[in-house]
Amino acid sequence: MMDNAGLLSSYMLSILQQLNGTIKNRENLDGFDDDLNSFIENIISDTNLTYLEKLVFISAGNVSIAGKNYWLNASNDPNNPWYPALQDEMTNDPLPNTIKMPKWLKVVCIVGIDAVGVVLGGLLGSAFNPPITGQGATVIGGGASAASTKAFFG
Amino acid sequence: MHLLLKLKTKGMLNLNFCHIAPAIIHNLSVDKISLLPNFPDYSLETSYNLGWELLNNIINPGTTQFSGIPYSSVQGYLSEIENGMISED
Repeated sequence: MMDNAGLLSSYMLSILQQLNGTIKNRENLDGFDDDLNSFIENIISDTNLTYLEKLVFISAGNVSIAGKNYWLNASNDPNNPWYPALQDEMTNDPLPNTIKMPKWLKVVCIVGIDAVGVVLGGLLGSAFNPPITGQGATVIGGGASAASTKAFFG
Repeated sequence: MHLLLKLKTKGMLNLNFCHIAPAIIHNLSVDKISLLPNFPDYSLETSYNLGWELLNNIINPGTTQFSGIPYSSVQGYLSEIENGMISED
């Protein structure tokens, strides 16, 4: 969708797809942080990206790691308001209309959308006003989190 | 938040130069959304505006607030995420 909006060059789109694959193409969460840190290191050393473009992807990588930890903690804490939406199909889910999938996969899906939201926010921020690139990444990433997790509530 | 306020006090908090700050504020935003009185039936506009408010409170406490990107400009993208992308994978 960002491609259609003209916000994303084909090169940046390929990096976004790489980030998305790093987050989602897995069978569990083992090595998640290491994979994302490798992604961030590659971005830092990428000479084809401008500073603001690097900012967007580095922020997305950092949000992915922090977001994964947040959602994982939420999925294990019955007192967390997000807890019901994050339970897996093997439990007695208190909300029958939530999407049925293992909770680690829900975490991965939400984090993947967080990352897309951060990149989107950063690019929109950059388009509106470069000084708010980082702020846009932050808030729209949060909005994307909210949107994706809201979807799990059905 | 403590770290961010420290950075602000030292005049160092510019999110374009602080790569970890978006991650911290992102998690704070998600936490705040869960405390909304109408959770989990909040609107995306509510959560989005709450994010900007939170960001302003952290970066510019008690001073001039910066204006964010209006919700109407991002509504299409967030709606698309909410309605479509979740089922893409």
